[in-house]
Amino acid sequence: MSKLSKWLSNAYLFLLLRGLLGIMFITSAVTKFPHHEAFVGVVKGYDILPDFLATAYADSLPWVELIFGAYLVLAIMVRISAIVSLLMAISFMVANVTAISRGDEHCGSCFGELTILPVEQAIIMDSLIIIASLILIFFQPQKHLFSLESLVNKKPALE
Amino acid sequence: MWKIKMWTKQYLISVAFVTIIAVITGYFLWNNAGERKIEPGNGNCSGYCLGPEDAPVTIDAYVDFTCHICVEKGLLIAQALEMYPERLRFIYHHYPESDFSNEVAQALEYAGSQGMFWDLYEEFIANPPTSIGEIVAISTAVGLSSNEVSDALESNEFLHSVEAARQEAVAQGVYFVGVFINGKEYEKYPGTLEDLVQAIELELKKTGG
Repeated sequence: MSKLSKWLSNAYLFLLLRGLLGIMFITSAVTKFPHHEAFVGVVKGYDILPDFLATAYADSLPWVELIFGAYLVLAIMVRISAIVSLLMAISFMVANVTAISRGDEHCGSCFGELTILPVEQAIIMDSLIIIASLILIFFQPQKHLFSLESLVNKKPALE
Repeated sequence: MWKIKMWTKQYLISVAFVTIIAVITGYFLWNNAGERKIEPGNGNCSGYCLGPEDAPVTIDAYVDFTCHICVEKGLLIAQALEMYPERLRFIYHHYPESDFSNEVAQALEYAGSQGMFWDLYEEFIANPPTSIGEIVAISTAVGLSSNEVSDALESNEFLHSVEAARQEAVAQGVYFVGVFINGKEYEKYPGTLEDLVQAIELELKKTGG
């Protein structure tokens, strides 16, 4: 095992990435839920997906963010949750690149109505989520710190 | 090598419990969807206004000209104003969210000082500028002096007015661009003319207008 992969498999780094990603997705979901109809409009406004798919994506995104955000925080199915967060980050990246190409300057929907990010910052954030997700997918520590499994039993969770 | 390991019954129950809690939380938030509302202007003109003061329906638009949805909504509102000339009041508010949209708002303020706000507004809605050069060119096309527009932008003469409008919007609880019909947010992005007409008709019914 190289030094880098040993470092990336560090249990504390893993805890930090899991926690940050999880809390970020939960926050993002909680801010979207109260204005979910408006969020459908925002997704349709990107003109990337046909209307029915844009509606399905916008309606399901806060649920996916909330559930998999909670899973990441509690280290439940970390690898699967990280794959989901990677897919979400890729979709955000596509939306933000589209937004930049048509001249938008802000990502008003990234965190619902909590804050408005400049599109460039949103893209940087998406890139960081992608990197963090890849680390969570490919570099697993021997044991997850502060995980649900450590609370309920000593056996490892499904990976 | 990735491994599949079995869950224990306790762990499975705990995961189900976490999932159910997340779903219940989501369900609660989903069904308590908040509406963005502002205090209805009741026709009081705090920005630039069109339409009669006593119109039963007032549309407040908080606009950033670099936001294409704002611009598209602006086009729809212009059509609605033609359909309801006596029953609709439109109030424009600056809500620039970038340095460039701040320049656009300042150009509009300058046009306002020359009594040509709506002339320039219509042009900006039809062809949103993407550079200072375009702001000046469009302003000149509607009859404003290119030198004076450039000077106004360079000197930031109207920056105070734009910032005051923004602060007033924030004081109203507006923290993002948006369109409000009788104080209630019009949640279409941008929606169609039919959607807007439907929303206006609903308000007309409510107010008996």
